[in-house]
Amino acid sequence: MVSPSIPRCRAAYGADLGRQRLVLVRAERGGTVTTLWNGAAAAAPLQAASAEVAAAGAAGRALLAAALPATDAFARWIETPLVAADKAQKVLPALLDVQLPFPLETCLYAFSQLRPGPAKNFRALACAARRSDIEARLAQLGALGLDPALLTHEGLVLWRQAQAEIPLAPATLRVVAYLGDGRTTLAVGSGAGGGELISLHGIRLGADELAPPDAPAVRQWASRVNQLLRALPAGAEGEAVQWLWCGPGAELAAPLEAALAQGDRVHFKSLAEPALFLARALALAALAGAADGQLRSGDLTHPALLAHIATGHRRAALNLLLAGGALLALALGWQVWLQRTNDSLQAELLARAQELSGKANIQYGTEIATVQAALKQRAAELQPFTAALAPVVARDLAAILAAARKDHVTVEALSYSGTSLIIRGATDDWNRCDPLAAELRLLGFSIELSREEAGADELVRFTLKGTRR
Amino acid sequence: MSSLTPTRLRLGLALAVAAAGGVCALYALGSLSDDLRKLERKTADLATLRRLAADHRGTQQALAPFEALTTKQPPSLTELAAKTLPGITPGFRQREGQGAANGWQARRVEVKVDAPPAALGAFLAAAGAARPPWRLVEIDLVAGVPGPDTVRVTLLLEALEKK
Repeated sequence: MVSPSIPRCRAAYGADLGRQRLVLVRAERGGTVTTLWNGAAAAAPLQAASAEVAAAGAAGRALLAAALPATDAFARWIETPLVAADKAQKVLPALLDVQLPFPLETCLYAFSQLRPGPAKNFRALACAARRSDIEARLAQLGALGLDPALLTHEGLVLWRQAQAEIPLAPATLRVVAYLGDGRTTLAVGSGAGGGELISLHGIRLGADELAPPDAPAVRQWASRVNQLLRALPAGAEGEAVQWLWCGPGAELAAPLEAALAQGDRVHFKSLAEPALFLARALALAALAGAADGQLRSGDLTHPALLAHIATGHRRAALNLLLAGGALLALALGWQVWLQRTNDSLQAELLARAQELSGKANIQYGTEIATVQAALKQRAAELQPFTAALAPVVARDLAAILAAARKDHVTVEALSYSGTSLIIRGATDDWNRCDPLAAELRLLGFSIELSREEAGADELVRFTLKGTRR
Repeated sequence: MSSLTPTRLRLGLALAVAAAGGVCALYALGSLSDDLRKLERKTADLATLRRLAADHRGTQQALAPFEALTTKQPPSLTELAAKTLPGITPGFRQREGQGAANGWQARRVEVKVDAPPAALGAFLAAAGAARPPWRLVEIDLVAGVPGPDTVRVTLLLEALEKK
């Protein structure tokens, strides 16, 4: 399974439980981190702090995150030959099963950081732990009154928080070393590719074993660490190695640094408030909604997460319902609006057609034709009125006779009906009727002019025919 | 077979509603261009009717001056001729009229007369100034008949009347 969705709260608690010690912190939005407990892991004195955590969790105001020690968990990069994420996810459990030292069915597991690998394959970081170890860890925490909603592989949380607090230079190998009272956890990664985690390791030697001076455990610890580092993929020549110490046993780092193989390129540093680092990292990761490597899953899933998932499903269903409803309403609303607009336009069209045509029954779709026919008939009935207001024949007659007088043309006969004009007349010059013809053209007539040679009286007789539409 | 939990039921219902919404939205989108074209056609028809109505109002206004007249009978052409063509008796012949709007009739009269041009002009001017007016529709004129100072004309005059 991939990283689950976790509720976003205003605060989150982180619990770092060692063999005998407990560190409990509260992180709030805005970056405030408060230490609630840093001491012996005993139920009675913890009562007030655990009650606060339980109350905040019950009210949904906060989440409690705890870590599963690296010594009880398993982490590996799994690579598939597939490049499609969905197909790759399906084969990841089978590939993990091959690598696990115990049957997959007895384990709970999570995949995170799923992404295409460098060789056009698909890779993911698998975290797994035996169900019995998870139940045992939950029981340990439960005995202190703590019921974590998130139980994650501690190495992942350590790596992420170290990255956040001290950014990693590109050509650097980083080892985040957590020294607990009964265990050591190493998160090894490289600055290449923006800071990629390479591997996570757990060693069952902690401050309790490493504290006595010249303890053989120190050599044993250093031997184991060097063995792990030698097994890493070969890095670039001369790559710097940065050690970051944290955990309740971080003050014991000096003899360990001395015991490790050193050189110019190896540097050691302690993270801020190292004893609180893991608890702080857990709380801040939970606050940020990061649940990579969450191993409290399946039937062990915390009720708060189950409720969150159920709420998510309900919200998804509601959103889907609202989206569907909105689409439905939009589509139906559009149809209703369309029908109403169409009806309204049709009613107005019909009413105007009836008013203009004077007809009550007009067939659908014939409104314009009916009105045009009615208005044509009406225009014919009104034609005598418009004609009477504009007496074209009388006006033109006066203009024609005036033009003839001006042009010294004698009109012998004239026939005019508004559209057809015939003038017969005589002039004393062949060209004298041309100006008359020109003036008639200005009145809108199309003119045909025919002339006869002058007779005995020396007059040129002509016939002028004009038509006008 | 998986059990039908309330979550699945809710999701199923939501999916059904979303699917119905999707189908309806797709249907509406599919018929969008047809629907809009239909509305555009109706709007254009309405605009055509408005234009026709405006044109018709203009023509209709020609009726108003006639309806406003106190007398809706044109004056007698005989009387007009007596006043403007003294000593001349034109020949009158009724021609076929035609129906006009609002119960009006267009009445046509053919007038044949031999007269001096000036007297004829006075007759036509008096006819045109009458209310309702006599409108000259056609004219046939021959000059110098029967004498050098007269013209022979045949006029077709039209006047509107309402009984």
